[in-house]
Amino acid sequence: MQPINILGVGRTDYNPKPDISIPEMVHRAVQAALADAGLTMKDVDARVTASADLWDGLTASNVAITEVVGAVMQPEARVAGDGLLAACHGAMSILAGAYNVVLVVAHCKSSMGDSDGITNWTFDPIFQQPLGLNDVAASALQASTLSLAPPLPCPIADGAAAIILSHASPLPTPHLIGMGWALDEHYLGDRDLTDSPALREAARRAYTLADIDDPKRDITFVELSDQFDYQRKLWASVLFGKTSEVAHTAKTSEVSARGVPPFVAGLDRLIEVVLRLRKESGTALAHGCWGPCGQGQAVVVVRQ
Amino acid sequence: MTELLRVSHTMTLSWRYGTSWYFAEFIRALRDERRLLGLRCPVCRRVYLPPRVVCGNCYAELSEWVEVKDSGTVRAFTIVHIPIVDPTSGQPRPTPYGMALIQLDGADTTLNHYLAENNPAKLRIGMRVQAVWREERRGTLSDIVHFAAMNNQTMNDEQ
Amino acid sequence: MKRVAVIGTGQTKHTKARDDVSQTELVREATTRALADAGITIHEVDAIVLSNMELFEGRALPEMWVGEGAGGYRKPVTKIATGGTSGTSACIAGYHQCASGLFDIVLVVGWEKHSEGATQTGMALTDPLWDRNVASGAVGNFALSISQYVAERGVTPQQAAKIAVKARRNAARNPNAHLQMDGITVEKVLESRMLADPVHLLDMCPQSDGACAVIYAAEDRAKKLCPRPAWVRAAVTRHDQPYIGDLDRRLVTMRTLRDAAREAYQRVGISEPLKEIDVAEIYEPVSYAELAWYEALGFCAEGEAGRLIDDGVTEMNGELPVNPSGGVLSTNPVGASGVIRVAEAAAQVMGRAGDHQVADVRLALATGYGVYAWSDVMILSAG
Repeated sequence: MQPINILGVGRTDYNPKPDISIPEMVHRAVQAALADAGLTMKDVDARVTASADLWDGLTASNVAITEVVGAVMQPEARVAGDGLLAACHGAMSILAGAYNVVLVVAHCKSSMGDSDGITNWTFDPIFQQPLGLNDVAASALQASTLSLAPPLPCPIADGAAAIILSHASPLPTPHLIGMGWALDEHYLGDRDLTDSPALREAARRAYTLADIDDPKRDITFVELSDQFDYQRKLWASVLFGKTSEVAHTAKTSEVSARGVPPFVAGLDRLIEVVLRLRKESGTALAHGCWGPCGQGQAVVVVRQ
Repeated sequence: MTELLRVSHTMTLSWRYGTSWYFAEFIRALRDERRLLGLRCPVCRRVYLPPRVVCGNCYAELSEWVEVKDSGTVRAFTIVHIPIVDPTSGQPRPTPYGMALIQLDGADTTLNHYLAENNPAKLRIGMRVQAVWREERRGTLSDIVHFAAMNNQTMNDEQ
Repeated sequence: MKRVAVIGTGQTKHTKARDDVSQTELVREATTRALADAGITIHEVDAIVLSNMELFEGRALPEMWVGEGAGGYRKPVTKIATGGTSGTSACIAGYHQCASGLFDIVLVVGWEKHSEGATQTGMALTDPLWDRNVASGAVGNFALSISQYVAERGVTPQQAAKIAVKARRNAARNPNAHLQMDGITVEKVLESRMLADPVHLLDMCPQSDGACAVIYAAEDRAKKLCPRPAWVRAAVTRHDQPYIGDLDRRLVTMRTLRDAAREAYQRVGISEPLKEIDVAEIYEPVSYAELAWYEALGFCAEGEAGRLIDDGVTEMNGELPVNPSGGVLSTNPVGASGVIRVAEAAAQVMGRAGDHQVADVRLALATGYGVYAWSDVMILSAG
């Protein structure tokens, strides 16, 4: 694929912000990304936002951020999923020739509601939901299949992240050269929870686009979405194989996505990758996941 | 064929919404002083009610407070005849009731609120209305019971 | 942009309640029909875009459960949710994904199963510090905007009722439509229960259970797979400010639809939409809105919309048939409604619209409407 430039990145901190509204929080991240890119909102052709109604407690909840993402009388697509997926979609709309400059924004305030209650609603209503399953319980099941202790619940976190993509750049910037994403089966009993075929598939697609034959050799470092502590090891083993534990541990950043809110985590990984690639050359992988036990998986490859 | 079944769930969720500085100030003035505050856009000069972070038309940050009156002009109206869930109570609101988009004096946006009148023959676009307040204010728009025609001048249109 | 075309569409039968299927099965039904229409198998689908409003059924990330119904297993799945425009925005997203060159075949599926949830409760989750203090609902809000439109344009309840009659009579020839009312008359619309002045029950769209799928193919594949593909010529989105009170006389100006249509027409080279467009499938949540959209879409001058329906210009045998399918007034599974507009417009171009086919369609328009005044516009053409 034609490389997509990442012109700017911005994010808030992820401390709980019970007093701050979603629009103000998103505004801070957008302003930071515009400033980082040296652009104004007039330079932006379209936006892809990532958020979820149930977490925001609003129907069509991107309504609340229309003005702060500059979407009045402008195009916006709203992905109801992880921000890394929104970045992939933004890159595709540029590849399609629809837009030149796309702002990608993700937000969530997990302090607003009841994550256990909301994630119970993710499970099918007939068989799994009545069991009281939620993301924490499902992750405990996954950890047990790996012979690990039940994971700690995710800390409450609020924040927003934004990046600006373009097909062209006046200056050399880290560029997105590969992307892939996939869904696994839904029923936990159908899945081998010690593995993630969806992550393998997402990575395969990203490597194909990025012309990467040997990820162990070609990937310089990795930023993983590890909302639960056991996940870093699991995702790394899926990406690089159980036998190369030393290599993947070395490549896997110590920066954890624990404490980054849902929907923001994947985009935050991408921002982490971009910031590091501004200081050192290499090829890096940003990872995002969402849904029970990482049913949804996304991989983006960035090179500088 | 086996009889079809329905599995029922009653699901309860609650949220805590942050006000930020702008809604906090709006609520304070409403609750403590019975004043309605809007924010003026520094570029297009439009006065926004409700307050917000930026003017979406100009993408300009807002910070200039403007007091808006509790009287205004009806810009649109209807009489609702179907029971619609009142989000403040969770119960259907008794019908019929009048509703309007009211441009408060000093604001450039309109406010969606109830009317005291529910006879369409007595309503018209351009008529002047005045807020009827509750005794106890909590700092929400429900502190206004409804809007009533000003001084029995139902037919006295805007100048 | 790379050329992309719709090569197949599929819909479920839309009804008040599909108790016989789950949401997953509903989506599978539409997907299977679209695959058969396109003459491909699920294995040839490279990526999937889904559309649904999760609050209506009380689901979180519904694609996790329902995605498999669209063949989403280990495939790239993206879910789009933008209120009423979800379906058209998903169709635009699917088009962009296909035009990116990354995927040859992209499947878009929208669904809603209103009977499984509490739609009014979902709709009531507006801004807690503002609109949520006022019980207006979608009907009340439309009625407010309609009062402005009627005051400025002088359209009559009879003219609006004619729109409602046209929709339900057209729907009678569409086997998938929810409300099929061949015997409906203007009198019956005006005699139906008043919901909010001047909107009668039969002026409003229903809530339906249903799903609709559209399959896109990149140019080479489209030419091989489809004798008469429906080529995407324009896809434009415009959003607007968050509160109803922000919008200056919403239905009168409808600046998003006006601007999106202007840009879409410019891209395709359309200067006289009424003459050049052969069929339109527009998202009309209420009869009066269709009249307002005629003006915003440039089908007539301001104030002329009533005359357009009086003269039968937008009837099945008129110069520009609008909503041969029966439109949203006849069928409204919200997450699917926008996809249905695109599917119906594409089916008209492909010559596969069955009993509601308009003759010789070369240029078709589809629109989406949502929130207070968000708009999507797509234009499809033969060749």
